[in-house]
Amino acid sequence: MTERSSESTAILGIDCSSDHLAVALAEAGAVTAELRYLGPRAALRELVPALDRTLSLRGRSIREVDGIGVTVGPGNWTGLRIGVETAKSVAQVLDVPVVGVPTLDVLAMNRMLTPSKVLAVLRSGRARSSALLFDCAVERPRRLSEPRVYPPDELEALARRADFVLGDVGCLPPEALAANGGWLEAAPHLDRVAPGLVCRWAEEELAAGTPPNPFDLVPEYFEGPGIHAAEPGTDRAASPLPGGPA
Amino acid sequence: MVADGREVRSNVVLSQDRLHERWGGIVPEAAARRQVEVLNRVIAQALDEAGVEASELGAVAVNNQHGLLRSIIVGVSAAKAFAYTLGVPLVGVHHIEAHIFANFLEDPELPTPHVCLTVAGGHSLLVEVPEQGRYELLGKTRDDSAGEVLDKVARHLGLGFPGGRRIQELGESGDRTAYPFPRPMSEGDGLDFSFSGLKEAARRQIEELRRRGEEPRLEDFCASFQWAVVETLVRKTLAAARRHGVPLVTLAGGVASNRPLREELARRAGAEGIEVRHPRPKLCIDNGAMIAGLAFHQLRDRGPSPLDLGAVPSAPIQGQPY
Repeated sequence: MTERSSESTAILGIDCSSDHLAVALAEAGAVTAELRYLGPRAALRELVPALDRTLSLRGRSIREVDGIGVTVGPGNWTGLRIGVETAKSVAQVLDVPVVGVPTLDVLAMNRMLTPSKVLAVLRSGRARSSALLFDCAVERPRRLSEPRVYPPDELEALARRADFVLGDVGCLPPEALAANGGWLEAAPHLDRVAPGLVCRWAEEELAAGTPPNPFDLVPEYFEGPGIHAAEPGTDRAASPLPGGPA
Repeated sequence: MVADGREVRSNVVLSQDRLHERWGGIVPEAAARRQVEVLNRVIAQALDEAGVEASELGAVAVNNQHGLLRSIIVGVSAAKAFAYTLGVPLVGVHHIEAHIFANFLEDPELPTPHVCLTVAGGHSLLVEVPEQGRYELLGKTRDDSAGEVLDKVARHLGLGFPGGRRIQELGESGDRTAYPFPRPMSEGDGLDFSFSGLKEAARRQIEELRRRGEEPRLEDFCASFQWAVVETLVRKTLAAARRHGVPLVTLAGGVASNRPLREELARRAGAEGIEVRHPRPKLCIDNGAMIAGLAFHQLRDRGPSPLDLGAVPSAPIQGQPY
């Protein structure tokens, strides 16, 4: 691995945890490119072209990347695997570190430094969502609950404790938004993971100490693999957009 | 790692049989999760055993056609990232084609034309190989494949996973004439396979025995059942060779290492002056060497795959659905 000066440190951020795909590049501590793909094709097809497009915006080559951040979950299982496996493989070739970024925590960072309790919600499969309540008064949102998967009715109790909800808010029944009278901020970008914040999270982790071995990085599913054990031949239908053939 | 499409430098296979055994069969989600855990270490080991650095690779190949979608996605993700980061071509290959190609990896001078019986990945098919890289589909699975019926009958017998191997092991010492089974579709002229009737016959016999308070004698039952599958495969394969006037038959796929199949095919083919060949077992099972080997030739003949390559769980071979 060649020595690179800290001023030119390049960090890639990748998020494939939901029905969109987002990539960012941070250089010397500042986010310099962010791309979001909302087209109809699968993340499997678009992720590597998106990496190339993002780097090209800054005239960079993949070989100049010094570290990678990737959301590890919760989220869409197939999407998480695409992001994690891609990040691990780029890191293996370049011999650079990979930081696994918890999806709900980085989502809550969209509301950081607001004196409020924020519930981050992500669709996690049919009729199930993962959610976490955060105190966002601080730079890095502080967890007030444990990440887990909820059926809709149980989400309601958690939502009542929150001042704001962000993420896949459509997962919540309307009565769950009663705490603030059913009002939400009309800023849709707050409902998506910001890939630039994935870069920033990774940078902070890398600055704080030695990252774990990239070979050990795996998605965090928060559910066993058996609950939707597909019958032979039905695997196709069970895979939503991020992995689906396109 | 394969050099020049013919020299296997390393071929690392990490079996998931124990994982599938725990789940009582293949749970696609469990398989894909395990693959993300282990794939990069397996790649590192393959490079290490071959004695090369990743930066020395000339291309990266992956099975992106045919198989469990969630598993293909893991492999394609890794292969694209490797190819893109290394700046070398990506080659997406067809799983079944790679099995057929394994015969050329075993012997680069393998004569053509020949007829190849492939039993792999939930399919049984017969192809004529007029030259390396060209395939004419002669016969295919109409319903259940040979591998599937072996697994399902093993489940009826309570033998666990992988069923095919358990049936083969138990059948070693059994009497293959002890239980009567039909020889599905062996009378007609067609070269397609249909094994669902055979599976039903096995299920009915097991149920009939249990209704009378008996259990099938496992060794004899397995030997008889397996023999019915073997004879059907052998008859169809030799019929194909005869009809197309081809003096050589090859085997491909996991079942190609089934001893009764190899022996019976060799015996019956030999009597007709037809030669039989098959790759060594490590090239018959699902393996990376066959993917890399085929990719060398595909890259030369058809060029690289794009970096927006997708995953296709069931793709035709050269336009021929199977």
